[in-house]
Amino acid sequence: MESEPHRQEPENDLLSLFVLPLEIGSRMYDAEDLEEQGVPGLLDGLPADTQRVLLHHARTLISIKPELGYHFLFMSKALLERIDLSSLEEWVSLVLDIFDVKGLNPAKEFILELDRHPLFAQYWGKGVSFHEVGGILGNYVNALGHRNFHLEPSPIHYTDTLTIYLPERISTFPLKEDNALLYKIMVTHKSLQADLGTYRLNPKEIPAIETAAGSEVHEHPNQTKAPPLLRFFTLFPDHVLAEDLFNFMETIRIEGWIEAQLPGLFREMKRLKKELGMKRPDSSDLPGKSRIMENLIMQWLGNSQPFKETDLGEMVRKIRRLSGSLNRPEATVQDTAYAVTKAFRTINEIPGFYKPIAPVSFMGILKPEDAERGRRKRREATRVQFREELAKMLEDFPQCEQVEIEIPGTDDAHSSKSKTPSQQQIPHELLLDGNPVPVPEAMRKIITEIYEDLGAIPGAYMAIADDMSGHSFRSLCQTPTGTSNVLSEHGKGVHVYDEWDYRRKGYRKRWVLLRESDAATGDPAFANNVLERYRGMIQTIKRQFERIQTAQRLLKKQKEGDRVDLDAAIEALTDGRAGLTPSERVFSQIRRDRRDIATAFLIDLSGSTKGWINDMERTALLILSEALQVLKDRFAIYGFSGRTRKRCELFRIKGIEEAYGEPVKERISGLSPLDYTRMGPPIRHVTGILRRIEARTRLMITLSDGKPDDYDIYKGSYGIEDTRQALLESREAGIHPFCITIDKAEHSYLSHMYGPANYVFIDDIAKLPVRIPEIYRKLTT
Amino acid sequence: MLNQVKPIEAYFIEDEPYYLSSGREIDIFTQAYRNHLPVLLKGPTGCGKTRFMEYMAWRLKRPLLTVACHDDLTSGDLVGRYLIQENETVWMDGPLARAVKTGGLCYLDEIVEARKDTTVVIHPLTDDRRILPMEKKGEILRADPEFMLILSFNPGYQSIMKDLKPSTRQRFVSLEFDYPEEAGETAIVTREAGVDEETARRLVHLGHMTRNLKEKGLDEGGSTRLLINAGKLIQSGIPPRDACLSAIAYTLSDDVEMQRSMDEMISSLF
Ligand SMILES: Nc1ncnc2c1ncn2[C@@H]1O[C@H](COP(=O)(O)OP(=O)(O)OP(=O)(O)O)[C@@H](O)[C@H]1O
Ligand SMILES: [Mg+2]
Repeated sequence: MESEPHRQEPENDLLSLFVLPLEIGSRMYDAEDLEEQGVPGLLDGLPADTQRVLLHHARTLISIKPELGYHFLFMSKALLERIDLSSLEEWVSLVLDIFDVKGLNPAKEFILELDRHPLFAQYWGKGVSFHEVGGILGNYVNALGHRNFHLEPSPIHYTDTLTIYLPERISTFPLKEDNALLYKIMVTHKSLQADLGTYRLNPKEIPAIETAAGSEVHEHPNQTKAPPLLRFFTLFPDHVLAEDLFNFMETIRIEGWIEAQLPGLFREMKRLKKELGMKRPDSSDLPGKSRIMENLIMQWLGNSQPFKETDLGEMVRKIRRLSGSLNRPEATVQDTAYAVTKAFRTINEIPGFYKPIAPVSFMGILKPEDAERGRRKRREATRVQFREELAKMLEDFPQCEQVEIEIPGTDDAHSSKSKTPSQQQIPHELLLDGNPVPVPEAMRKIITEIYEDLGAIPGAYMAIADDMSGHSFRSLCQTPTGTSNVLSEHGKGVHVYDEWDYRRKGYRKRWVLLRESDAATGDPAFANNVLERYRGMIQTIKRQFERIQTAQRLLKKQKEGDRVDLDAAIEALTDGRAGLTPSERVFSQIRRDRRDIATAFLIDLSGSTKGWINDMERTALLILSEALQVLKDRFAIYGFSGRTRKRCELFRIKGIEEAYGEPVKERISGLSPLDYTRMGPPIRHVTGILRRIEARTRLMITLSDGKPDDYDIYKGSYGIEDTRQALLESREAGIHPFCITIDKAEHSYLSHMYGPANYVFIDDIAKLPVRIPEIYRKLTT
Repeated sequence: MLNQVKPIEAYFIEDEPYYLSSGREIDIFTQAYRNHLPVLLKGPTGCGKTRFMEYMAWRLKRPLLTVACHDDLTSGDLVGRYLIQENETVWMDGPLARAVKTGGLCYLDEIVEARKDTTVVIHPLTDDRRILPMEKKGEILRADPEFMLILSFNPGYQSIMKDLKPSTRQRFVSLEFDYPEEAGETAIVTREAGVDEETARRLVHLGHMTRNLKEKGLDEGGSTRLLINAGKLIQSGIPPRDACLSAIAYTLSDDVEMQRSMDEMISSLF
């Protein structure tokens, strides 16, 4: 066994990991008990490197919950037979996630059950897991269109037009790439369901469709409130068959778009469809209607076996002609509906019932009700965004109370029946009192969405008189009462600030009370653990920082220096000859740039930053602070939280002139989520602090997880506008504000608050520790 | 380096450069020129600002003197300096002084890259004095009526060190540039890269996809220039996927996951 001088024997290492006696379940174990159980020898026989890695992870687990580390040590050999060493990190963080979210017992079960645990299979089973491709496909699907989707694992595959739900794992094919491709086709298909309007069947068409469907169908009167697609299905005596036909024919329409726009994917899809076709169950026992459907699917998948019965074959050909017509760029969901109606009548000539055939996995299922909910949510969100954008446009307009806003040529836009919004007449300008004003890019996207959804911008969206705030304000009377929630104006460290009320375009005087105090200290073990665990990363970041620190610059035209500045010398010489007094600045010096930067980091401690986010924030702060030691830039860290205007808290984690040391580490370790996000007051206060600092560059970086939001009216536009105003004040004071956000939802408001290039969005929380130092580096070089 | 001063005639653009207009920029620029107003071209990288300048210089029949700014640029590089030639000292005008004298268009590309103490020389040129003090020579040059100063600037860069001071900014007429709309960009890519229209269309589609990811993982979407570069590689026989990976995906991001996402977009298109 190798032994390094500063290391203890591995035997002793294992026991010394624990603080004894160790409590497991309700029992206490001391060193003797553990020895008896064989703990010291648990890792025997493993290579030293492997032992070291295992010890490292054991330490992590023990620092959070000793019992987890204990079980881990027992299972570690068995675990390594199932996953490789490099996956261990991920496995451990999964344990910790389970522990965070569900508690000790589920986490313990996860450790003990190894590969028998369903989550384990999800991550390390065969095939491809959502987890492996989710990140890649998330970017992919957002790039596909102007809309954003969330991706989420779920037992059923569908979309509500906001989120695409995908299987946890796909192991249909032996090849990993093919499974990944199936994921990609699923995502593309669902995003196109939303983009091409699968759920946007025009309810006005329903009576006409009903007539076309023939006399045997009726719409139930009580159905008229239901989503149009659901109403459409109930027009048919067998709505399962109608639904299967519809899903199939819509897929053909969607495929037409893919063929035209994504030819590469279309090619791959064709190949995969063939493979899927070969996997289909035998259909010879199915009833006639189902055999027709199956044959349609098989032909479409590219594995046709013609019918022996000529009448059935004729039927299939007829339906294929119908569906073939959907493969045009102008085809809409209305066309699909009519085609389904005709196809249904054809199939319905066959007697007997329809037994649903095996689904084609990537088509997923249709959920009109969920889609309707999703659409309402999106509609409301776009309406609010549109109003916000409009308000921004009007800012530059004097007397914006009286402006009349119109859309040029609205009527012909409405009559357009085309399916993609780009073919519609999306206005490039709005008329403000008859004067054309170009529609800004951000607004264009929103208008596109509105057109897609409603076909035109409803007049109410444009009405100025409508209270701009109506959508986002909650009533004032929700403010909690009781004195403990309120700071005293004369309390220690309490400051009074004005607040901007955009509705009256003025400040509410002495409106907010903010208290600055020292942040509470927490367990230094957290900090030590992080510094240990991320040692490698910290080194790397430090090296990157060193590089900017040592970025050297050749200072030319110096009075003294170690080298002659040739250009300057020549210039002096020629000046002399030309009769001018030659300059004596003819030397060059190599010098490091003096960085004269002071930065305040403002950390959002609102309740929404619980658990994992909070851990990663603390981790990121520690890593950043370590790395900043290299640069010697001055920096402060403050945390903030608020609960109504009478109580904003600002916690000093590190003062700007304070050295980074143990107390700061402990305060970072102790950060925990509190109440709400009232952003204006802390920004104003920290602006004041930075204003008093002498530095060439002063920077205020806010780390936040979302919109300003407080218990009272500090929501929606009010909060956004006050924050924006506070940032403007800050900019006036010569400070550069910048925001790092982890808000998953829309963040168009950030551009409004901070200015277009003054924020970044980090979608992967796990990347906070790398991204924050990186952003700081980019900002300051 | 000494004697190779090109005659000013060499700075005239003889053949009409290919430029596809997408707004009123030609009119506004022309009127700014007539009114002796300096112009600021704003816009993301590779969207046609330089090309626009070439086109305008041709259209207005003025010489175009372009200076690519960098942080070692001194005011001498712009204004001029003494040189020794055959035992004599000779004054040589910098591009700015030449443009001022000959009534040329002086285009300072990526002005924020230059040091602040360099950019101050342009101040007296950009208000109604229109003069260029040449300290060295003890002369003050009055700008020719045809002289025009143009700066370019990409507001997208997120470094606070590289912003334009309001006092500088407010002297200019600003033109906002953006990537051309779909049909226009396809035409540009077809023409500039020499690819067929279908390939150009797919490249433009890819460009749009990457632009959808701006601020959602990418600092910038792919520019027209990148699309043209990819097109050129394809035209020279590189398989489309490799061409797009090298010219676009790897250029836009170092993040492995993001590169793989772009690979998925590329393989969907080609
Ligand atoms: N409107 C246009 N008409 C013709 N060609 C264009 C147009 N826009 C872009 N291009 C093409 O794109 C290429 C890049 O454009 P250009 O060099 O003018 O970009 P730029 O805006 O100056 O970028 P940078 O800010 O990086 O200097 C040009 O060489 C040209 O081929
Ligand atoms: Mg250029």
